[in-house]
Amino acid sequence: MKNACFFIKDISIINSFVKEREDIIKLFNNNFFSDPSQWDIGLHTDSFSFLQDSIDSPLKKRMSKISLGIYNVLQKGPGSNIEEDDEIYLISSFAEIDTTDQIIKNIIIDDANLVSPTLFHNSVHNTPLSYWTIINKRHNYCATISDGLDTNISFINWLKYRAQLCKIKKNFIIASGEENSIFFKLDKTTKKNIVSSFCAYKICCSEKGFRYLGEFSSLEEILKTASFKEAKYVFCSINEFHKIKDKKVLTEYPLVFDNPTGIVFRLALPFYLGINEKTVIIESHLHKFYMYEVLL
Amino acid sequence: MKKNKVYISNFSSVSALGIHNKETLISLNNKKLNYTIYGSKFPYPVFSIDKLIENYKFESNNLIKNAKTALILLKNIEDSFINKGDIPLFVATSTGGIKETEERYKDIIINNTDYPLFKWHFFNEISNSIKKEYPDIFKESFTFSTACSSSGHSILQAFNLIQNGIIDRAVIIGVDILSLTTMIGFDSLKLVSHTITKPLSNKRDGLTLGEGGGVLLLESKPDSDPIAEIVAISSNSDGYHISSPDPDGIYQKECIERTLQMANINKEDISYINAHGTGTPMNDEVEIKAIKSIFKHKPIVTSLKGFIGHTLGASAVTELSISLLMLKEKTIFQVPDFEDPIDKELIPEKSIQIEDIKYFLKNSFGFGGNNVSIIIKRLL
Repeated sequence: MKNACFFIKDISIINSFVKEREDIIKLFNNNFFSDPSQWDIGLHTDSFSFLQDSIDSPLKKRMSKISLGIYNVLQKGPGSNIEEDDEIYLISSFAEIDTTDQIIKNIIIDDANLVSPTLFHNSVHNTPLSYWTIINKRHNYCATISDGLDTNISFINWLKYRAQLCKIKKNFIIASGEENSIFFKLDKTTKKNIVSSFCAYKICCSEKGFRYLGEFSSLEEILKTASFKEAKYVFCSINEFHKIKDKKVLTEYPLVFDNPTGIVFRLALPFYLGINEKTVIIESHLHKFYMYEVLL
Repeated sequence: MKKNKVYISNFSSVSALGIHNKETLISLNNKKLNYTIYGSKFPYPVFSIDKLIENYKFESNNLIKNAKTALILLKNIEDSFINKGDIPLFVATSTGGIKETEERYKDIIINNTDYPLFKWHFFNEISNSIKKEYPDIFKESFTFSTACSSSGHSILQAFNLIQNGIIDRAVIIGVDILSLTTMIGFDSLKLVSHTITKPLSNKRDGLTLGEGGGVLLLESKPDSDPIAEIVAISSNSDGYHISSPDPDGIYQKECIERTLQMANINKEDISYINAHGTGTPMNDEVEIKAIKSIFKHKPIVTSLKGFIGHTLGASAVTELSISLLMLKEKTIFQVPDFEDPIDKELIPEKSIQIEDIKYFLKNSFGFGGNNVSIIIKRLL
């Protein structure tokens, strides 16, 4: 993949304060992605009723927040251009966790011997993609990758392989997101701000776009690379945000807070924002660092 | 572009039949069904592995049950991968640490106890336990979860990468365990047999849940004679219903046909079909309808879920492993007292001795109409 470039198109990002590309552009122009004083967890409200509005199916009443969110980003983003043999992947750390939590609560706390059939069949990880195929009567390949707090690194490693198949097996669709749930508050050993935020896009082979530059043993090693030195913009996780100087440093953090799928959003942002100057994207995981360069 | 062949160099399974191939084969030959009644909260039969693994010694005392199953599986085939450096790990599960969450949930809610749900509940705990045990082998992992077809996707993903020369080898692990959530959930959908599952029989009245898993070592250039070759695999979506298959089986049929096309073999070359065969009235009817509409030469069709129950996301890799074992033994095993098959010409009532079977088909279907079909060529 080191020599290959991949383009990201048909992007959609939705959360409680972002509905359209114009919203993201406005936030970018207001330095939202580089100014921590604007990052307020309170921006992420639970007002998601608008997600049902665009769905013309009685099934929408059965869909969870993540299913509604993924449906909406797929429709607004790559949905209209999805071809029969495009593979669709959901990248989600926790998927239908709120539904699962309700079932466990019914069984363990309420001592139920039966649960709502809808809740149960909604509880599997692939449910958001299944609803999309059912409502749109589509028959595409669908699969979900989910690795809890390690989902970012699973995505990076999987993408490095799957992208190489673009030349042989064509393009593929990524949908990603998490939903807020009371379940996360039950873990008092780890505080994470998991917020409802969704994105989708199509990845294709291209002469320009993003290139994976590999794994690095330290941030310093990345800072010494020609790609980093030449870059005007750096998109990174919150871990690196305050450590990088002398560059325009941005992060998707205020869109997703502690969601472990931030890299999926980060990779799309330079494309969504139409940044023409050289950009690098950095992620870290367990003392290792990963870098992409983007040139549009 | 030249494609690499994708060989199965080693395999194993853990199920109610046994925790390694030898034990599994003994149980199959003894025709003993190891099911028990789960308990007062779910007073129906299940195929549990608890008794089989209770004396197994693990390096760590702090493992979720799915991780224990995965480590037993890897130990079973360790000799074949231990000296081969970095190997991408393709995990499949639909339950993760849910059983452990259920066990502590009351304490968490009522007594406000500390329990690291972020660490223990989600799927990465399985691969993290594996990486801790084999730090020099498994550095990259990905967990696929598409309900009951999960391990079919792990195989498909690894197959595509090996076939196209992107990776040389992969380990596939599919594991799932019994949990109240899945047992009560399936019962709420009226899909659980309250007697015992009777897949592919007209007397079938639902599925029986099972637990365990399967492991495959896939390689393009094995060191020694491989056991089998995965010749084709494909997947699609019904686009029909969130928990029921399309009653006409159109896309199950399309999935099987596309796999045949990819394999570049004749339909008549398939002599055995290991069905998804859950034992629910609707699922088995649709699957047999799809099979009969394609294969006119009457291949043998059986389901292993009568022996091990429905192991959910682990079922594809677990049943594929046990199928390889059966075919090596030149016997297609049928559960004792099996009667009244849906189709007498396809489904044997008794275990049967067979000549060498070259190609067989494995089906795996999941919620949301997620279909996977795999064609395997036996080599040993």
